Amino acid sequence: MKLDALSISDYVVSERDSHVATGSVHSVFRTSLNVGFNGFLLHIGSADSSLSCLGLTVEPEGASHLSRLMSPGDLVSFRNGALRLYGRADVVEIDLSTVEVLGTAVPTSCPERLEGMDILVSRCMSDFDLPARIGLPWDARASRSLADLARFSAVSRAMWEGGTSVSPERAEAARRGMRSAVGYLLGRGLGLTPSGDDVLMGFGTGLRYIHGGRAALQTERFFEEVVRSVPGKTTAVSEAYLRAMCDGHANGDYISLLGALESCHHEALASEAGRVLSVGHTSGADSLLGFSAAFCCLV
Amino acid sequence: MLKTVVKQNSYQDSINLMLLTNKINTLDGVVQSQIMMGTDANKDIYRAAGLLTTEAEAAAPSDMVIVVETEDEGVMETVLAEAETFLSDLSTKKEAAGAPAEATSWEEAMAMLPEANMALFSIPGEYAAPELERALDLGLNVFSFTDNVPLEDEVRLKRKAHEQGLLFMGPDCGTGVVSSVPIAFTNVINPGNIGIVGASGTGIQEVTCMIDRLGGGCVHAIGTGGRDLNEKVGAVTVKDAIVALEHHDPTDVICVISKPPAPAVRDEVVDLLEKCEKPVVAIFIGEKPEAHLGKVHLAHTLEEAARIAVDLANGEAVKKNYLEPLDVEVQSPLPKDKTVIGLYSGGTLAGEAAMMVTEALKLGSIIKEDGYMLRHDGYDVIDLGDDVYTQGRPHPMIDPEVRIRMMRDYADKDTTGVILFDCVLGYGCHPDMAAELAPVIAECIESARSEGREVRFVGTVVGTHHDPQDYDRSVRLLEEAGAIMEPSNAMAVRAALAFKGIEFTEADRGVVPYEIKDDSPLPEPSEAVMELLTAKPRVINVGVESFNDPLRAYGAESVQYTWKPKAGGNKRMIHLLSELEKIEGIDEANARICERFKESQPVLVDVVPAKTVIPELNRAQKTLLHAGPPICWENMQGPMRGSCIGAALFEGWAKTEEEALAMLSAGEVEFIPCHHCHAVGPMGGITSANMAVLVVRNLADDTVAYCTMNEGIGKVLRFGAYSQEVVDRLHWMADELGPVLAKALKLSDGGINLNVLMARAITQGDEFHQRNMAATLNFLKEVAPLIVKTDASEDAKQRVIQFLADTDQFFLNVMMATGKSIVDYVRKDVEGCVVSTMTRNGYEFGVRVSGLGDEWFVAPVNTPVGLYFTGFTAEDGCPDNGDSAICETVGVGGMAMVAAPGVTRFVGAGGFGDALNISNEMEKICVTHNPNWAIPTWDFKGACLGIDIRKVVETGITPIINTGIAHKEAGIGQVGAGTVRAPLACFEKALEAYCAKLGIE
Repeated sequence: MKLDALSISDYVVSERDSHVATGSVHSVFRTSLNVGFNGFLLHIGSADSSLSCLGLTVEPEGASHLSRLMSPGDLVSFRNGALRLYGRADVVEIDLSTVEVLGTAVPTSCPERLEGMDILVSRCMSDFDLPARIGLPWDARASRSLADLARFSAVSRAMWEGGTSVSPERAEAARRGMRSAVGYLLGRGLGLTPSGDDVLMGFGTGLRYIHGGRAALQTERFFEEVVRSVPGKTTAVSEAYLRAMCDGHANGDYISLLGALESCHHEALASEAGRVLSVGHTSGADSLLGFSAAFCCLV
Repeated sequence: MLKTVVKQNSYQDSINLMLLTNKINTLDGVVQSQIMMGTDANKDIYRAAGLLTTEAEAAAPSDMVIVVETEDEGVMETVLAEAETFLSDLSTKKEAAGAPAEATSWEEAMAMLPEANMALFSIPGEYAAPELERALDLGLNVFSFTDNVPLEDEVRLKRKAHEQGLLFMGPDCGTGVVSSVPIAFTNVINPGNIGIVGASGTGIQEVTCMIDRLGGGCVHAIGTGGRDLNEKVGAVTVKDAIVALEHHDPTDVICVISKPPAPAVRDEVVDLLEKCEKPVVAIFIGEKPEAHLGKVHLAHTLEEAARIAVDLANGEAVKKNYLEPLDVEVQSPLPKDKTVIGLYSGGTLAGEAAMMVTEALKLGSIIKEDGYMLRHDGYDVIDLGDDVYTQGRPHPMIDPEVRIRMMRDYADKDTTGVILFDCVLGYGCHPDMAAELAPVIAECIESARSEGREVRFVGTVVGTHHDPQDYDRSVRLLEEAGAIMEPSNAMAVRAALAFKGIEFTEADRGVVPYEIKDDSPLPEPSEAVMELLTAKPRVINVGVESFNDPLRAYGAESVQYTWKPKAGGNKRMIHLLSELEKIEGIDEANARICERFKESQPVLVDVVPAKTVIPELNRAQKTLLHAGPPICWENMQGPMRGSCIGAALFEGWAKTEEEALAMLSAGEVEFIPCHHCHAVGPMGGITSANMAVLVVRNLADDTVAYCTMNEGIGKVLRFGAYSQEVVDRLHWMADELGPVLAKALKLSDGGINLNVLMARAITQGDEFHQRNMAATLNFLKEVAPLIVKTDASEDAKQRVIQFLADTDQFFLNVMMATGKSIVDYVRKDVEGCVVSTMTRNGYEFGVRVSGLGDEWFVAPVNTPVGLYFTGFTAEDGCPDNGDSAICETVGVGGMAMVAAPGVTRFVGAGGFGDALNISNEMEKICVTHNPNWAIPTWDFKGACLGIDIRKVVETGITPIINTGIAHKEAGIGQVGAGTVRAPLACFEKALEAYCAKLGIE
């Protein structure tokens, strides 16, 4: 069976520069699967879903066929521009020669428009009642972790907006709170991407959008903390996504969400946020909660 | 003493019979036994074992022969009961498994799986060549597990396969993987990007299992048979497979495994591999490579081949040395007098062990003698799968018995230090070989210890975690028994050598440049081979049924062809049939012959005295017509003689039985077959000048045929009765019945259309031989109004109508004349090989064949089997008589048993299912169906049409004939009814003659 890859994340292209690689199917879902290549996880999904920053897409029919044919452990090879998955029932070849490379790098906001965005995000997210929909119990510890993350974002913003108005003690306190939140949230919850990780992914994406390279000395601490803490703390799939987030990439649905945010249209934002919300069992809600924290909207 | 039972025509595959033999050998009172088919090759095995009895010697290839050596007179009863249970268990398992339908011929198999692209063979080698060729002619790739195919046949068939663009895997190809589907004796391997070509069964198994356990995978492992790199074969399959894998996108690495090859052929293969773009690894067992050759990475051991293949598959550089450290540490080596013994079920594993021991101890080179691959100074390495150990018994991968015995024997020897062994898992192998070997190993170790000796068992399990047996459990069981288990055979041999204080080393291997000798471009693969390698195989499984299990479990489609030797294993007939298959036009000729059957338009036109239409009866010379092929008075049986006496009395040639007998035995009467005079006669078929005969005209070309009229049942002339009442009835039939019917027919519009009448009656439950009630009533319906219109006296009309109403079988004779009018029209076209006449005279059964004109082919006639009237038994029955088999010749009677479910019990055929089975069986020997006579109970299929002598001889299915049973003594008449089979021999003789006519020797 032969399939054509329709789109691929530029993150995958940059990460996979080797011409020959072998790996195996890591996990299989209804219309997508993950392939492990010596530490790198490649997501093969359907073109009617958003592009994973770790992945590529094929026609929807091909994607569901692929999911039916493959089992975890099946060998996969990448050679001569083609990906081959060796299932018991068939060998599936995915041709990457004409694939469209799509950017999944998280953009940076324009500082002048941030204030309005805060309100926009706040209004939009409050409609979703996110704390009631996340996969973690919304208790004092969870609430405090989100508050710590929000404070970290706020302090970071103050650092580049207000220059020296943030005292070192305050900055350190924010970092401490952030580290504590990361420690609490990382790997917490059920599923292939635990809820706590999704919160961190949403937060990290928001953080990078808001701050970009600004106050890098402060914001980069978050990403460093995640990279430092993640080994052995969570699932391989979640770890791969957290690493991508730390490298500045996000899934296609978040890239669209940020686009809508950039347009400052409430309806467009609500629509894209609703799409994110529908991801996974609670993943969408979890990540949106983290994203809100980056905007200091403690909904 | 030896006891023998021969079960005729009871074909079973050899694996089942070997397992049954093992079971019987465990019975109390059985010294030894052997159960095999009665082929010549098997008779040699019986002879060698001292078990060839006279009965076994006389058995046919399609007979199952049970020979038991015993001192217990009564043991055979138990043996037969056990055999019955064993064989019926097989069929019960099949039923319970809801097995899909099976084919019994290539035609059926291809009809069931028209898209088939491979045939898998596991049939006796002595019959294999024509079957393998047939598969190629059908456009199928071949996988031949079958061994013992002569080398010249292998050479011829592989060349033919290559020319036709097909892949010929085998013969003696024990294992294979095609598109990740395990075939025959095979392990379940992870699919992956390595493609293997292997002229070695266990070599493939060891390498693929290692690859799997190293995390790699194989998409194909193409077995080629161990002789492919023989000088005469020239690596035809290896080369075709290499070319195919080079063009197969999912294959990233090509791995070639070979037993010791012919040097020139080996060089050709290397040259070809050098032209491949893909990375290549090759191992030629017995060769110790010092360097890699150009692009071809050469391995020394199977393990090394697997490791190199996995590295290449992962895109990694090939290492200079692949020797992994051993786990086992030897503190104190064995004394010098202790030797290493290898007891292997895998031939290539034995070869590898022999090679490594020979190299390490500098013992010369490996051998292949009587199963030994090393036999030097107490060092023995034995391939227990060699013919020496497997003739008449299962392979050691299935049956551990021989190895267990040899393990005990060698462990008892003072000189034995280490026993090397393998334990092969996978489909086809013993379900739990480790559990069989483990207690024996523990026992041997303990027994040696009790004598103050140390015997070490070092082994390897060839298998994967996906195999039906549990790999980890197998290793654990053997380790718990005291064996040292290594992950590869090479490591096991190294461990064994370590116990001898020898460290096995490999020099680092670099690359030396290679210059391609034949610079022609790499050939293109055929479409058929590439199609085989890019889809799940669609297989016709010819032979061992269990080979379907892995096929179906891993996504291949398969159809079981329950093969039996063609022509009951008669090699002369097999040869003739194979030659006939090469001749074009026979099927077309037969189709034309069958058209003549179909276009016949029989009409009953008259009833006349026989002498008025049959010149042979209108002479001074006293003449009687009789049924069947020509016969003299001396050979006539009681019923026919009785009929002759009756006819002599009827004609007034004699006044008494004694006078008639004297005249007949004195040779005063000339006997002529009815068939020679356009006539037919039931049972004795005796027809004399003044008897009334029915006249049937075939309007196709006005061919005319005659038959006497039916006299009713009981004491009648045709069954040999000749009392006064019989003679009187004959007179009445000649003087009144005949003339009245003749008058009636003249009032009809050109006679009675018999096709129409029969088409109606067959839907009403008649098959026209044993049951004619519907046809007789339909006839009466047609003729009664005409009779009434004649100028015959009212009394005569009443008597005639009453007789017709009382005589259920009256139409039989009309049917017979109908049949004769058809076959004599058919016989005017002298071509093809369709049976144009079947008849019997109580002494011989005779057939004529369309392409052979008037010639008779005869064989002794059988006695019917059936039901007897009260007071009579089978002892009273006479061998079969009569021209009435003309019914079956044209496709009704027994051939159409399904049309007459009411008859089946009477003729001893059982219920409706049996009737259906009979017609279905008859369908297998016929060319087509006759739409003129559609059978409702057969889903309106037409009656069988055109018995093809090729099909009869090939299948051994002979036409079944519904018949009455005459008493064997003259004068008594009919005593029962039943069925009788035409003897095969007359069809075989006809086939010989037909082939002779076509110039086939």
